[in-house]
Amino acid sequence: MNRLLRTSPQSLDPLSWYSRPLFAGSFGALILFYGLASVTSTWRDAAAPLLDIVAVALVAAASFLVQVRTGPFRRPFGSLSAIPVLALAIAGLVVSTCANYSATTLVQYWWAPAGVAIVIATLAPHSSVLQVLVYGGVLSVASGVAGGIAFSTDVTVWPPVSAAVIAMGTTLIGLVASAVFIVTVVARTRELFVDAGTVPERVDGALADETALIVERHLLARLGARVAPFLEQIADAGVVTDDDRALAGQLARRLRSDLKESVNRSWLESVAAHGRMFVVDPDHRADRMNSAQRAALRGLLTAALRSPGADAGSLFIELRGQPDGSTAVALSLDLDLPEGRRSTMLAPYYLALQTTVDDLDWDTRRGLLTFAVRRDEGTGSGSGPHPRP
Amino acid sequence: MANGGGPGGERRTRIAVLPREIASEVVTASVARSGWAVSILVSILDIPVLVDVLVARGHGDRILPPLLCLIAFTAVVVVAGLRRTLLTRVVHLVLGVALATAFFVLVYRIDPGLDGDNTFLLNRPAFALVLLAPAVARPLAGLAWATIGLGVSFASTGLAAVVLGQPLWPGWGPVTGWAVYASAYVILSVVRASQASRIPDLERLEHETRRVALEHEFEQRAAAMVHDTVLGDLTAVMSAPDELDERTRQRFRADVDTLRRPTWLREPGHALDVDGDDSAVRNGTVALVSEMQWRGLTVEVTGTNDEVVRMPPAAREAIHALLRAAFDNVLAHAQVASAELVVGGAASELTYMVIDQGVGFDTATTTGLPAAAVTAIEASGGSVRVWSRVGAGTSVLVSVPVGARVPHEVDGAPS
Repeated sequence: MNRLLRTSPQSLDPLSWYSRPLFAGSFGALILFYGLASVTSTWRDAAAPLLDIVAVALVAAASFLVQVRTGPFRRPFGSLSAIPVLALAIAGLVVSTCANYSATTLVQYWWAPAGVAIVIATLAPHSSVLQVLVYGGVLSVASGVAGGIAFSTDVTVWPPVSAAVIAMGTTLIGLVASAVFIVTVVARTRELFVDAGTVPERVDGALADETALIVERHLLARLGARVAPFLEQIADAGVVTDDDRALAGQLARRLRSDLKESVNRSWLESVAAHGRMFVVDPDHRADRMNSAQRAALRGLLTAALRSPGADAGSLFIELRGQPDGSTAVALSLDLDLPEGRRSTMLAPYYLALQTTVDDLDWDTRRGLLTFAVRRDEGTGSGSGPHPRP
Repeated sequence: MANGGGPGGERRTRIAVLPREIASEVVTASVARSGWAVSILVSILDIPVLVDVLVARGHGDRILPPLLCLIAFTAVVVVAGLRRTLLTRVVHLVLGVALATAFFVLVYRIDPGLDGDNTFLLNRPAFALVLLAPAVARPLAGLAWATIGLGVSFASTGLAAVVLGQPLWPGWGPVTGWAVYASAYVILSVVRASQASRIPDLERLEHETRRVALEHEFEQRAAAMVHDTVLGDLTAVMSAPDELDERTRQRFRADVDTLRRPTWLREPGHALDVDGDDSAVRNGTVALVSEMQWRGLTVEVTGTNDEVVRMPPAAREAIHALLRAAFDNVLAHAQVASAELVVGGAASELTYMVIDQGVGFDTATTTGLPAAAVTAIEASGGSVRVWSRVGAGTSVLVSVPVGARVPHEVDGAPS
């Protein structure tokens, strides 16, 4: 229950809220459209319509700010991040109150409470229900007070209490709609997540056969081509000469070198072997990642390397053990990609990685991505330790 | 940021992201659910306004009928949302329209002057009808239901107009409610379409990564097998006598066959899955023998060494240290150029015996073996014994208890 109240839809399923400017931006545009339409339609009744347009801009800016602060590579949108958003919304409310004070406009045609309600809805995907109750509570009270002040001078249509209830009620609708939305999304998503993601994908026979064939054709065939005929010849002859001993020594040395190269490689170094990627992982900590972490990281790496325009440059990834047993991973993207395109290309993979690791952070200015893999997280791919020749 | 390594903090082995279709359904259904909550709130918030306005206009004694109507309407909406069946949906539609119409008519008859600037008070139930959408799964279905709701809302006002016998203005409320929810559904629809082209196929990504991991795992198995078979054979050739015995020749053939018919790659739980440290016991011994050959000591290996065994790493390292020390002693002090290594043991123990026919020494003064290694062997339940006599050679016997033994198959298996 506690987690239900403290979890935001975005933190639970980041990819579903990777909407680029479509979500918060659309709500900002809706505020602009609705606010300007209302101001225009009540222009003759308003006390200071130009000032009201400034208020519309301020409230809309609150939604646009949410858009900016919830980009895929931004830090999580917490209560502190919401403060400037709320400040802008309240500022818009205050300015609009001033613009409508003593106006003959009716409170139900006042756009500001609805605009503020839309700001609450914009915050909803990135807030827990507790957070939205606080944000919405503050804004609802502010709307009620503002409505009471601005529209209490003319009581012929609405008595003061009704004016305040109508003003506050509109914002309260935004609050309740957002709270119910968050609870429903989080509860339903958590239900769907039960067991999902904790059951490893089964390896079917066809996949095993296909993969075994690749290994046979490459590694085993290469190694067998050198050694097998020699050993067969020795076995058939039953005699070992000095030349045989010398050749065996040479073959053993080369074989040992080959084995070292292939066995001492972690899965990450295997991925690196196919691209412009450099891995520093002396303790083979990459092998401690579980399959979800591997898939998410591999997706990010391959997407970065395959990005159009990323022909030049390289990736540098370093894994280091931490005193607490976890593994710190630093990924440097030295790719010649415009910031916008890089964000578009990599954001989905970044968000997928976000669901599997800890302390994920992307310094877009330096092109440096860091995260941690907890000691108890990595279980490897199911393969146990192997001898390293 | 610390997100606990995944949603809910569970230990996850797969990327926990809902399929796009499912995620879209969850969000769309949640928007519809929030509409239900809003329709309840709209009805409830109309109660204080109703009371305040009627009292202010001097109709305090006539509040009850419209108030009961409003409460009944709210109850119908609540029940329709809590018990989502076809019956409650029909009741919601029919009773909702009837009660919204009745509310409009009742209030209008109390004070006809409320139609106009005070339509906000009259049309709240009609506004709530706009949000009657059930738990829809697709954004466009939500949009359709909101539009149907708007039509039902207008129908309610139209019915009131018929009952009252004059045209009525439905107000902007229902249209505004429809516009907000319609916008939300349209935005969701656009986001869904956008995500379909931008969100990668994570299931496929996981599958491919699994294949890469499996390939890596098979490569490791193959490398371990090569290491345990042909590399050991090559090392054996390096230190072999001029003529090979039949057993060694058969082993070479079996190992080559193993390399050429790698069905063991696909077989989990095969002897190869034995911890690599165990197979290193045998390979380490072969390497040590080879090294001694280069240093001038011919070591003849006899006995049985056809099993991979499990033993603690400390014991394995101690065995190597003791064998190395024993061979070093032969090289340094025994004044002979050859020694014998006999490997064998019973079901529960593995024994190594290094025998030389050198000058021997007095074991009362020293054993010539590293004390730490001896202690490690003894700590693992084994023993180290040295027999030597001046002029009669030396024998060093190391025995260690072992865990599961994995016999090597004769055909097509590692030897």
